[in-house]
Amino acid sequence: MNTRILFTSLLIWTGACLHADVEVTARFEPSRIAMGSTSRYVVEITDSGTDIFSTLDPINSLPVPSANGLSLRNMQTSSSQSVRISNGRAEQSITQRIVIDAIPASVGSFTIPAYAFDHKGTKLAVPAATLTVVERAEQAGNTSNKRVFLTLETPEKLYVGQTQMITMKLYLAEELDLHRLINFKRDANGFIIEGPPEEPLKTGEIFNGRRYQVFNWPMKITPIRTGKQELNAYFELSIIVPTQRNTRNDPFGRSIFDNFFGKTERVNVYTEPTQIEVLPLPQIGQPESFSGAVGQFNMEVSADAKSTRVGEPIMLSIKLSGAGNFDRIQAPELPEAAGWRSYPPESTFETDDSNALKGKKRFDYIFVPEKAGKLELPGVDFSFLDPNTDDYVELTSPPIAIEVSPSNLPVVAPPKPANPDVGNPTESSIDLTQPLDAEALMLTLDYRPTKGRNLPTGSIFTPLVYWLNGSFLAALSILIGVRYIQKKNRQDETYQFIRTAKQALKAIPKKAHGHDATTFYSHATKAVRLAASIRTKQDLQSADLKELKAELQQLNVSESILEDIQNLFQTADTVRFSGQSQDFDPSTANKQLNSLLKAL
Amino acid sequence: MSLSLRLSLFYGVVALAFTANGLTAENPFQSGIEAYEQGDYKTAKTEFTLAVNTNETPAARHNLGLALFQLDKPAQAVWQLERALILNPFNKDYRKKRNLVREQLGLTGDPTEWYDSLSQLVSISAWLMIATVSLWLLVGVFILPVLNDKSAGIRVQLLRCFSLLTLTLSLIAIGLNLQTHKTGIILSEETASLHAAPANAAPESGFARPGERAHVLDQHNNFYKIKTEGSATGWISEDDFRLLVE
Repeated sequence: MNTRILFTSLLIWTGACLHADVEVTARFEPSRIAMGSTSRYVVEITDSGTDIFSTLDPINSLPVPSANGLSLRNMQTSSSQSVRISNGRAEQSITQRIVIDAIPASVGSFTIPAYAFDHKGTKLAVPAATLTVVERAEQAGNTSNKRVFLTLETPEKLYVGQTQMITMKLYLAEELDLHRLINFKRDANGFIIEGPPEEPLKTGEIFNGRRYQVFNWPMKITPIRTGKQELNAYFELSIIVPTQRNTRNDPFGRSIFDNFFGKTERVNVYTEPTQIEVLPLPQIGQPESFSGAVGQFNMEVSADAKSTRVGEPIMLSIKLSGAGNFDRIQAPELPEAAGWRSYPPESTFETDDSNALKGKKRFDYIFVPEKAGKLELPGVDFSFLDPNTDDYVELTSPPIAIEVSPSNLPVVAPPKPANPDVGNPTESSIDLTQPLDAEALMLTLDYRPTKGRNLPTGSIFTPLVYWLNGSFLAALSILIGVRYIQKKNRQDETYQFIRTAKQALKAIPKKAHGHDATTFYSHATKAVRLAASIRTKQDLQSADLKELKAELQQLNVSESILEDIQNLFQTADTVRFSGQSQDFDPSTANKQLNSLLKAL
Repeated sequence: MSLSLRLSLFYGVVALAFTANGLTAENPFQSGIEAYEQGDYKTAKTEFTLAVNTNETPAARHNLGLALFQLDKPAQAVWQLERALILNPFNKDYRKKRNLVREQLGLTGDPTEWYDSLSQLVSISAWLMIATVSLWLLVGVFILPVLNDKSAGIRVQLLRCFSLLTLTLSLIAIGLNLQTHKTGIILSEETASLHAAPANAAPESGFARPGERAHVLDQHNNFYKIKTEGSATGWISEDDFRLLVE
């Protein structure tokens, strides 16, 4: 019985857990404001039910329809969760709160119509909300109702290439606390921006009658495009909003426990749309020495010595001090100086502030005198654009006179063979020989126009190269082919037999010619057997007439040839056994043999 | 004046003009020498330029280099003397003069190594022929004994060593010659800027001194990417740089 009650209770509890109810509300806070103030469009989604294990499914965006004349910005989201146990039954409620700043453009009534959005697979309907904006009373105080906002302090105009410091300020109402900066973005395609640094400078300000904590980020900007250039910034941050105590009316002010009991909100803040007019550098009156310096500068030019010797370097220093775009200042170009050999300068920069906008830039030029006498280091021209007066300023420095004395270094004589009889060469002999040799050498022409090496004009792979390689390749291929066939034949017994037989056959007519009938017919029958062996590719050297005929008949040898063979063999037998040779005509017999061998 | 006299005069003038022109055009090398000896370096330069364009000889290049040197164009003089040395690599006189001009430009040391000179003993085409013959000889002396089922004798072994040695040396010489083909001289009379990209507006990546040797790494449109003797790397306009073998 008890088990049945327990099972029924569990079933009811499980069913109740699965039940959930979602409620959506929308409103303006406050719903009535004076012109110039900001209201907030608040949407709350409350997901209540008995499923205490349900998790938060955050809403990151809402398809809010536009209301003409009402600007919605800076969306902030927050959530809260509560569990209530009543009569042994647990009920959980999760509320997500989306707050968007609403800024009216004019007096009137602004309604955001009802709309729907998908959440957890369900379509949720958001009711319409209306904001009423009235004229601000003249005597009304100018009180700010913004909790968080972002500003950029920028100049109205800049010259292209001019470097300027600007400050980005994040205002946070005094009762709030900055928990964390999550993300920073900027829209400034027309500028090179250095910064912001990681750690802001924290100050306090009263803005529109409200006290704020202000986080300052200095940034260095340099416009790179002319015309009106957008410069906007965006912060995503989380703030801690106190909930447990009403700090505004608390006579003891804020407590350290406020943060502990506060709730965290994620806030997006944007700067007001900002544009800077970027002016091109004036072409009229631009000096030749201008190389892009914008600011206010002074110039000092000095040499590290008033006199030197031939070959001993002297340093010309140009020191530019002031404020401006030091990183864009190039070394001033110096004119050619007669009697001097110069080298590209080295530059150093010492900054007077952390932003490198004020300081001293120094260029050191090395000059080496090539001749003795009174020489002059070249004058220096440097110009810059003063953005305060919009005029070019040209700074000039006169040439510096330098006394150059002859070199005191001895001229090295060419090495001479060691000879104890001859003393050290005198100074006069050194001075006379070495320079004259070089000078005379450089005057001596070559009078023999002989032909030099051939230099290829096109590709080095001429047709001759291809022909040569092709020939070698072909020759080698043929050689390999022949050797392969020879090797193969050497291993073939039939081939070897036929080859031997052919050689033997070739020799027989010579042996048979000029002898008596017995010797002739002996060789002739041997020759026929060899010819038959070659024809049949079988060894018939010891075969009799019958075997020969049988083998040749298999190869379809004509009957007349077979008869001729038979006659030859019979004649040979007759001559051999009877010894009759009176009718023997060697030439006729030889012809018959040859025709028979040819036929075989 | 009779017609025949007029014709005779006309042909006489034409013949004189042709003779005069022929004298200059036929032997600009000699004309250049005469102008140089008279101290007329501009004319000498013009004549020697004509001489190298019609028949390039080491002497014409060398003399043109000296004329340019006298006209205070040391970087161009270095190029002409380097070219003369490529045509006649073992001329000590040319080398000494080239080094003197380089010294005047602040460039020290002889940039030509002994193996560079050796590689220029014969032309690159000749080296290629030697390499071809050596290669096939090597292939032959390795394959033929195998085909004949015979072991290589001492003569074949020596032939193998010889062909391998000549093949290696000729390939090295070809490589060095090709490297010379990618070598050029900075022709600007002042220090030239090297750029990080093939454009004059690109940031500077280094400097190249006048008369300095440089090896070409890449080419794009009218720009060469080079590495100088001083190991500076960057892009330079073809106006400031000229290859020794074009």
